Amino acid sequence: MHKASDLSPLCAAYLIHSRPFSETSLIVELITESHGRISAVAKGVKRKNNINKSTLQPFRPLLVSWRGHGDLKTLVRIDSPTLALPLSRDFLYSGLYLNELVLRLLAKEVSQPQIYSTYHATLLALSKQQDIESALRQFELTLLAELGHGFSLSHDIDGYPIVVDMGYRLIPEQGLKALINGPYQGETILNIANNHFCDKITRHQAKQLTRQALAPLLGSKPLHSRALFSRKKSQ
Amino acid sequence: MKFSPLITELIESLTCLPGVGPKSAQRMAFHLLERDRRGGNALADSLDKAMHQVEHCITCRTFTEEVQCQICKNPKRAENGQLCIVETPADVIAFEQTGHYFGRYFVLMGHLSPLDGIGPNEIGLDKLELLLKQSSISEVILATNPTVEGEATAHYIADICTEYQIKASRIAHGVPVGSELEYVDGTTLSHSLNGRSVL
Repeated sequence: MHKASDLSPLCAAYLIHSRPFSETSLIVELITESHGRISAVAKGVKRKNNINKSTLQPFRPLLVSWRGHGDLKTLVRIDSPTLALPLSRDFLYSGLYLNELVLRLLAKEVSQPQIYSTYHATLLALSKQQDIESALRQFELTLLAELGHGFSLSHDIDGYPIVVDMGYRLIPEQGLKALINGPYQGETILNIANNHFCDKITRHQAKQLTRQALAPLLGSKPLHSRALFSRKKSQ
Repeated sequence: MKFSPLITELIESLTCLPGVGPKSAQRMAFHLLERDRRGGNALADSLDKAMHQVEHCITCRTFTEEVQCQICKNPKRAENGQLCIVETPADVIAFEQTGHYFGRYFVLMGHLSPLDGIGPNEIGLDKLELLLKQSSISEVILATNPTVEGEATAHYIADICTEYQIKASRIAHGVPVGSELEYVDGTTLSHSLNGRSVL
């Protein structure tokens, strides 16, 4: 017999990934506001007339409560206050990229409300078809900072402020170091710090910078969602 | 009690079927041994043949023991220039049963799912691109499932079609026949509103 106290309070969440489990259930990965990333079994949702079949979809704001203290919880209640955020084409691929980052980088059951709120804000920006580059870069920088791998965009590792016409390179896990003819220009770094992604060079270098910073965390396995974007560039 | 090795092996083999656990497998095994030896032999025969001979059709990737499946071989199916893209061979059967579609198919055998490591080449999009380049296809109908992954797959294929200047259309999402609007989920209802048609 389950006690009522075993039940977690309702918590805001997004579905990141689901995979089939037995005939009628799913194992879902969720990012929750209060408990970080959790894995749970959603029983019976694959049944023909189950109402939660359409609710348990990525990019749909959910309210969930679960039972269990182990690694794999059991979802007890699944509510959805609103419809899924409408994403299409590049915005949809970007959403899948966010999900892949969350699944690969977030440890289970570590409460990181800042990452959750940035994830939510990024999805909102994508659903309103705002600038993809700026939305994704902000998410990546927040993710790096919250995971303890952030670096300063205002000072280099020697403590000097970033100078507009200087070159810099990124030393993984440490920060930016001044270097003549370095791959990242001071002006770009200051633009990123001010969230000013207007020119082509800033956008390109910002992408390279976050990609380089994320690389040690991701290891040798490539991010598959990047393959969805690469088609456009090859044209 | 333990069964003899052959019976144990049979029961264990039967559990590889979806929805069959040890208890049902045991029931099936005893049914075949007790009551239906001929049926059991026929099953073994057809399983053996199918497992060795069934491959993918070279054109549409559906299951067939021939080089090309019956639909791809039929010249009449190529006449209207339509190509319907579906996720599984079961979807082909579903469309065939409607009796309303007379074009050809392409079976992806899945959908794009970056989180499971399934990219464009794993679902045969390189083959589809070749098909679009070589055959005279006038319209691609995207009939992937209405899930996030299905949508992503549809958009990705639509981008390929734009490249080759082929019209790409997505099947409509809407309210099932015979249902009551009150009980239809919000997402489906909003899709049906967005895709409404003039009477």
